[in-house]
Amino acid sequence: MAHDRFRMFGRCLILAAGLILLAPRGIAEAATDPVSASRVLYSPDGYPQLTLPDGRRETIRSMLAITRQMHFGEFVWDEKSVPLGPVWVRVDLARQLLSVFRGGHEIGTAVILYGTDGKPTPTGSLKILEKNPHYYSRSYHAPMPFMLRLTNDGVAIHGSSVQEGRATHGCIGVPIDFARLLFGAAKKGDLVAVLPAQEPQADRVK
Amino acid sequence: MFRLRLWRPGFRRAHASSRPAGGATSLNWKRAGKLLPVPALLYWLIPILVPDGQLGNATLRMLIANLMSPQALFDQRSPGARLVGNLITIKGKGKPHERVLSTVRERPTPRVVLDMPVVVDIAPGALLAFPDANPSLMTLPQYPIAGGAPFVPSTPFVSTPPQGLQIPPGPLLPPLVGFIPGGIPSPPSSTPVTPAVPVASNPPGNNTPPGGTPDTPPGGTPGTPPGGTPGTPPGGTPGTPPGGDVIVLPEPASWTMMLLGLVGIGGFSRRRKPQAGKNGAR
Repeated sequence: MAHDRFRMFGRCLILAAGLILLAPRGIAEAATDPVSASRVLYSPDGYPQLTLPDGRRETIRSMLAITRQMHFGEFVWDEKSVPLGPVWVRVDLARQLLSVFRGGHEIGTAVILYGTDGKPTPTGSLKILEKNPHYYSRSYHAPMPFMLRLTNDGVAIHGSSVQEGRATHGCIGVPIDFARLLFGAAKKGDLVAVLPAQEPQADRVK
Repeated sequence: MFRLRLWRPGFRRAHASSRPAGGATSLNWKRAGKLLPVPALLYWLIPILVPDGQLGNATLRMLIANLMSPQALFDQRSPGARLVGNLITIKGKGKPHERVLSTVRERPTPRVVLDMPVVVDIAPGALLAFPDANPSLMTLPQYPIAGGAPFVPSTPFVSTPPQGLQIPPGPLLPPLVGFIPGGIPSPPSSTPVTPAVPVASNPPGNNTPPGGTPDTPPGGTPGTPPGGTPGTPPGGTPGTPPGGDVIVLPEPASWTMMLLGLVGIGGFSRRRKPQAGKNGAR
């Protein structure tokens, strides 16, 4: 008798665990647009907002539905059926992620490299100062393809070999194919929000 | 005494009443755990069953806000944060590398053991000295010496023999009886040879022994040690003692694994016994 109760209890636990695991996925699929299943669309009456380092807030209309851990060197780019609009780039040093938004829709994301502790990447709301697809650094004797300069002292977003355990001298390294796409999407003067590595709670959803 | 009681089958059940009161606490936890599926079912079913109702929409929106918010998505796709001071080098090579001087930096990479050639690859003539050490001594003429081991003269003495030198017989230097082509006769004659003939030796500048060519060991092909295949030590397989079989002793880890397995088997069999008693006796 006690054995049967124990078995019943075990079955209930397994069932509950399965339901809990499957529930978020089902709800998310029901909530996304059926045309673009790889995107999480938010309701117009409650768009989430991301606060930038300078206090401004950017409204998010949709996100790429990547619900798994990305690896170094990996990126996703999907701008299908995304309307034209202002482009801004969010660089999250704490999570080692870069996201590109166009008109509030996320169109690309990648795992990044950033500066070592001795040569940290500057944080804040920066702007793209210069674009050069074939830049070659004379300081480091290294090619930096699809360079988007952020500061006057040489910090930029550029294509790099993104591997675990590597770092930069302060630049933001992205996969070269992703850098090509980003170079085509961004223009001079676009916003690049670099969030610090030590304070991941700097931007919150409002 | 206490140990014996512990190992007796059915001991735990017989002494269940004397357990401390902590068992009741675990029982309460088990009862509370049975209620876990109820909130889980409600959590999952409410937005599905009441999608158009106010409760369903609110719950759905709350779930989406919690599960699919930008922050949650960033957290899910992030490869993880980099620790402070985690990187010791800039643009490291990703794997440990050898720190060497610049003068030896270009040396060829040594091959791993598995890629090493087999022993047959030994160059011809490399094993000429086997088993003796000095091949030059093997090319020297042999002088049979009466009543003892053959005397091998030192190199300067043999290479430049003085003309007409009379070597007086003495206790330290045995008398030379002459040159015998073909080497030392075997078995050595026990008859003492009369020292009458003066010394005969090779002429100066000719080191070729009459028994063979220089650089060729007597009685063997170059590259093949006498008595076996190259690479095989004389007397058997490498690692096998010449006396007999190898006695294999398990290492402590193997002993531990075996003991753990025995304990596990014993534990399982001990667990099953009370169930059989329960069905049969009670």
